[in-house]
Amino acid sequence: MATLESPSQVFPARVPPEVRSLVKAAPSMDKAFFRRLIKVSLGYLQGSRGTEQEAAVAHLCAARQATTEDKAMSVCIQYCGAVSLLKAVLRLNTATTRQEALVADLTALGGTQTGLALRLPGGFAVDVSRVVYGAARPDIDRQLVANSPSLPTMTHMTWRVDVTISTSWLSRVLEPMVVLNMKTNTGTSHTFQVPLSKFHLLRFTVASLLHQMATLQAASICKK
Amino acid sequence: MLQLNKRLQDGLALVNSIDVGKINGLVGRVCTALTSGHSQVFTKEEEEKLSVSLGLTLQQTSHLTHAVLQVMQQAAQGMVRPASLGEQLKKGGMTEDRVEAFVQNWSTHARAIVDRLRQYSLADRQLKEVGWALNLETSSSCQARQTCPVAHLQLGLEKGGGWEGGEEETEKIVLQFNQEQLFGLYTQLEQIQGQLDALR
Repeated sequence: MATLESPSQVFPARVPPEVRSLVKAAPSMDKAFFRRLIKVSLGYLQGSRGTEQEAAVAHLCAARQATTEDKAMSVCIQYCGAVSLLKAVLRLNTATTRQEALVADLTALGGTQTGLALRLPGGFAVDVSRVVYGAARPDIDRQLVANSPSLPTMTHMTWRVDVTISTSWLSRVLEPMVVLNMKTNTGTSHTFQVPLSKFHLLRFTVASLLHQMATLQAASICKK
Repeated sequence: MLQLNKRLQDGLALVNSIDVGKINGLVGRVCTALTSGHSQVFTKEEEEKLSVSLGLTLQQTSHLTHAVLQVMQQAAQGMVRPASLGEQLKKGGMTEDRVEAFVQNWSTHARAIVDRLRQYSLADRQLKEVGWALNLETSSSCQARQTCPVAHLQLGLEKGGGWEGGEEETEKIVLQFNQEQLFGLYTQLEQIQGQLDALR
């Protein structure tokens, strides 16, 4: 396959085949269907998987009256194309690329390889750019960050303060002890005791980390 | 109140047969072992050397050490005053000068031993160390540019190792927090601190 000259910012290397199929099928789509396609792909990127997503894709197929296997397959390929397109488009830097530039870029998508101008219709390009620059962008960003790879995070913590009154080796103890139970998002649950000195150490560590985070946010590296 | 069973009685009789200087040294050694938390006072070689120097068999030496350890542990458990300990030992049939050795060592080491014993707990897992790292996420497969500070906390949990000795295993848990989650943790820790302060 000849390499495609694609000076596009969205796909700097080459336009993936599923996006190309999407662009090819775009002129024959109506606006409502394209909007729905975008919505379902966005749901996928925000982490929705499983039966809910499958039902949404089946709905899409029904909307196009894709009764034969071939037609259903082509709808699925268009769905993949939409997902890849959105993924690439959401990685753009919204500070340096302007909305009009993005729209122009998208309408020129596909280049002129075979002499046929494969273009994403203007209305559709505007829809896609609205996803990137629209009001819902911070929410989308938050969901994306939540789905990126990470170490286990703590979802829930319960605690108890015990005072040991007496033991078999010492008749008068009166020493407070904290019992913590931490549940992580991977499902594991850790229960452990924290003696007083270690509790103070933990508290101090958390406070100093918060302070350092605040300083870091104010530092120049975080200023976009 | 010292519980004197037959075994302990025999041990005290052994104490009476050893001279005072050596008893002093022995009791001192047992007390330092208790303060540092070792349940084994002497290693095998040390016990052999000790039995040679005392002129007793190995079994008698360990019986003697065990008796002294028990006396000290019971004193700590009841938190008896040195004078009261002295009286009870005298009632148990120990000679005056040896009782003096015990009482002296007890008054020197009592505080340290009790403090040490207070720290022990029957816990299955205890927090032993807290390690941390502060990172800044700059990009990922989902986002091209982001500035998100992320803290990694490593909690070292220790299992076992009670006052009887035993194997210690450490389990390390690593958790990640962003600013919001860390603040939530901080709020909960503050609540706990409030409760601890209310106890005083």
